[in-house]
Amino acid sequence: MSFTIRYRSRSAGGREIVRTSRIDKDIATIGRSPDCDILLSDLGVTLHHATLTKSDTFRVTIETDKNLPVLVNGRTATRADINARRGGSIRIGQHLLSASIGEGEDSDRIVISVEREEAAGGPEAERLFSLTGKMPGKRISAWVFSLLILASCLAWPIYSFYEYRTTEERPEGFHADILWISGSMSDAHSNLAEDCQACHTQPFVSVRDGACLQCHTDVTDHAAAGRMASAEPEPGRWDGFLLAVSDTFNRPRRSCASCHLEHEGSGRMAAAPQQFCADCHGDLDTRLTDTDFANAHDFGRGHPQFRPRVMTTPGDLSGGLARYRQVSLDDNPREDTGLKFPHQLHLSQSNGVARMAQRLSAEHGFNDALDCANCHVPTADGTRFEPITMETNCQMCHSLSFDRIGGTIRTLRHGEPEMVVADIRALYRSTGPRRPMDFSGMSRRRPGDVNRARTTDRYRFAQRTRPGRADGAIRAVFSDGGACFDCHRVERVDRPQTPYDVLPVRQIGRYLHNGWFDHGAHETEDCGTCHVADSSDSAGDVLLPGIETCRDCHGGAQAGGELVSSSCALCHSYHGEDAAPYLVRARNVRGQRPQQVRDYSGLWNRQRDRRRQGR
Amino acid sequence: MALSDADFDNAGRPTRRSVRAGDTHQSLLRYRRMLWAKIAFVGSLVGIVSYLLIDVEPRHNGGGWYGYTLGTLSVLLILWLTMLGVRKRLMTPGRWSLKAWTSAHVYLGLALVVIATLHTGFQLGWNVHTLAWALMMIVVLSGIFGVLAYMILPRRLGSNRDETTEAQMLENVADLDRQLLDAAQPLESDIAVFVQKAMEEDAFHGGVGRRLTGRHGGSATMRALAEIRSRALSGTNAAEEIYDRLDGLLSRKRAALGRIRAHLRYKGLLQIWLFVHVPLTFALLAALSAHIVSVFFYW
Repeated sequence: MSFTIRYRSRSAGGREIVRTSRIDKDIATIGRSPDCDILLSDLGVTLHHATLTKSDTFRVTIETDKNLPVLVNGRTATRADINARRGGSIRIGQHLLSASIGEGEDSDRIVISVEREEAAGGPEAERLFSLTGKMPGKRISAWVFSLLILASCLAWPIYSFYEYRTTEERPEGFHADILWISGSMSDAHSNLAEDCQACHTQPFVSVRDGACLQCHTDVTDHAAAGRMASAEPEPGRWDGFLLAVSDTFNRPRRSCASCHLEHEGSGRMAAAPQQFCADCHGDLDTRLTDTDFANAHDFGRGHPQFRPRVMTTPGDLSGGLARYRQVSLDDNPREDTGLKFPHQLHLSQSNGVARMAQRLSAEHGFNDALDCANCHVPTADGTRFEPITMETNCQMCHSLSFDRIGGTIRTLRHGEPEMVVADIRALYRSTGPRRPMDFSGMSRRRPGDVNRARTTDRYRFAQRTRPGRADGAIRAVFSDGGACFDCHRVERVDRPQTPYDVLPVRQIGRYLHNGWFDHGAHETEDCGTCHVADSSDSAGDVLLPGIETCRDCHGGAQAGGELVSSSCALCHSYHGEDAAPYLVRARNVRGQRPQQVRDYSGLWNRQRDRRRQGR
Repeated sequence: MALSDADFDNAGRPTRRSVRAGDTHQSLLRYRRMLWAKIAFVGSLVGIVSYLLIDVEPRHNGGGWYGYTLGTLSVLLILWLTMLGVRKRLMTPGRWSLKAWTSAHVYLGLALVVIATLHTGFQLGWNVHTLAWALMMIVVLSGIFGVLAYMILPRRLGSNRDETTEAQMLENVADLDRQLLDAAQPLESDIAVFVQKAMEEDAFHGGVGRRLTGRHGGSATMRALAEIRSRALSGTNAAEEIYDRLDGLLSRKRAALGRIRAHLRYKGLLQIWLFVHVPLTFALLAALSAHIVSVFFYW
């Protein structure tokens, strides 16, 4: 009475069917053969596969035939003991044999349940053990991600481009093409950051100059396009290749955007590198043979001497214009502004001028002698100096007073020789000669009527001829030692009433028209460091420092050490505008750029012109 | 047996001697004495040095001849790397060794990080261009994770499963559950609940996080085991035999579940990177298309 075998199977409906058989011996054979005690109809099982031996009430031993290992409790074995009380399982092929202690009428038996396993494993197990069910599929997520990105980063921006294609200015707010921005806009263009179409007007066409000129209406060309083209050096192989590539991709040459690169981060747009200028200007004369410009490629190592535009004649009395000439400082240029003004005399520490300055110091704030700032007042932007005028500067010392009526001093009208003549004549006409001392009855005189009669005659003569004396006074004013002559060049003219005229004085507001010099940036220096005025005895001296003086502090673009690195854009404007060059503006407070340069050349004529126009 | 240079001929192919000796396996990372690693290293080095030497005004960016060259190189690399998915599905004889291809895929993928990052000029922002770069980085990082996983995990996977197949692991658990069902029949209902819960527990429950970390929190099998043991110890129950049997079954189920979970964890780690690597590669291709179109659209 040893084993009870229960064959378990399931009906199609899932109901469990159990067939029971009993084996009354302690050894049971297992196999496919019909004479086996435990019959397993499975091709994976041999005819006689194994033998079960009951060793005591709850212990069985399995031993397989012919070295055919089976799984016992999950482990491969050819021989194993199983404790039926604790339970145990034997897998042979697709059959599972479970051992347990019998109950009830089988209480002294060991029950072996035989069950055919459903085919486990295969695709089902594969799916269970992989992440497939746990993660969204690769294919579906690839589609989802790709479509999301294409929709949001490609289709949407393109839609937003066409949505506002015909609009003048986009409304504020988010536009999808901002997703395409390749870097922050520079400060100047930051207001355009949301309006890509302000510059990118055509799809697949690079930014054209027209877009820039929409706002930048006052930009002038560097030079005529033809001259620019012939000034450019022939591109080398590499540059030629790059140009060919950019031509292929429809990028225009010499456009605004070739130099002004946007989307390079906030802040100011970077200045073009010096090499950009030096490419053409380094050996410009080899290609532009008629150019006035000398070659230049670096301020420290290759820059010509300054060539200021000096005045060669201030014009003439018949309304002729001033003439200028650009001349190198190496050629000791002389200029003629029409004025006589020795700086040496006025800046002396020990002469009459200095003495006069001391005397007038309370009134005008002079020091012990005159200095530059007493006359030269910086303009509001600090770049240059206000023009010198008779009224505000010279007249502090050089008085034109000629008469006093009551407490009021009458002065000659500066700049109007006709009025000067008329005023002097009027003075002589309206005033009598000084009464002789012996004219009154109270005075002491020499005895005798003859003396009285002589005095009377002389006085009458003086009274009669007094207006005629005006001519002499007028002559004196316009002659050597006279008020006008001291400073101006006087010429006799064939005009009966006013036989004299004064040659116009014109001042130069800016000497270096292709370069920029900012006095404000150099205020740490004394004037005398650069301008040797205190030894100049003639107004004809051009008191500009040469390039050597500048190079004491300024080196080229690559200058190191104590020298100030100075590339082209520190002094020169590419677009030739009358404003500070880019690097100067970049350093100064933003917006501090002179609206226009004051033109001094017409200053002298102003009153006369105004009167003429009034006529 | 470690491989030595003598096992390979000049072309890096295993010699006849080494083939005879059975040393035919050569890791794709070491393929042809790391030929592709050297090529990728030299390529990256050339990229870095040229980046430092070439003066781009005003600063490095994706544009200009240098930027466009790096960009073109990067996109060609990306397209070629993506082609591994096509290549591995093709049965090609001869020179087009899949191992060579995969070795190049790994090392050139690493070089791509250098080249494409230089292409950005380190100018990153919230835009489609940086999106493409970020996706590329994630794809490459997931690839690096995959390579590391394939280097480390298979050994652990093998030692954990101890020559059992996945099907056997499942059967083992099912078998134990069946025995538990039989063994638990005489139990009172209050304790039968515990056994019922333990039988219902399987190793596949829970999401990806649970599977990859291997942290499964409270286990019903453990609770049932603790309950059985506490009752057996208190000696209140006469059915000592049943408890003894249940104890054995539950312990075995716990061990079986532990093995399956470790197996799942290693297997998951070996697979998870591909769920990032592959879909994001396609996302990268989409972002790359948007990136290139946008550059030319707003040219």
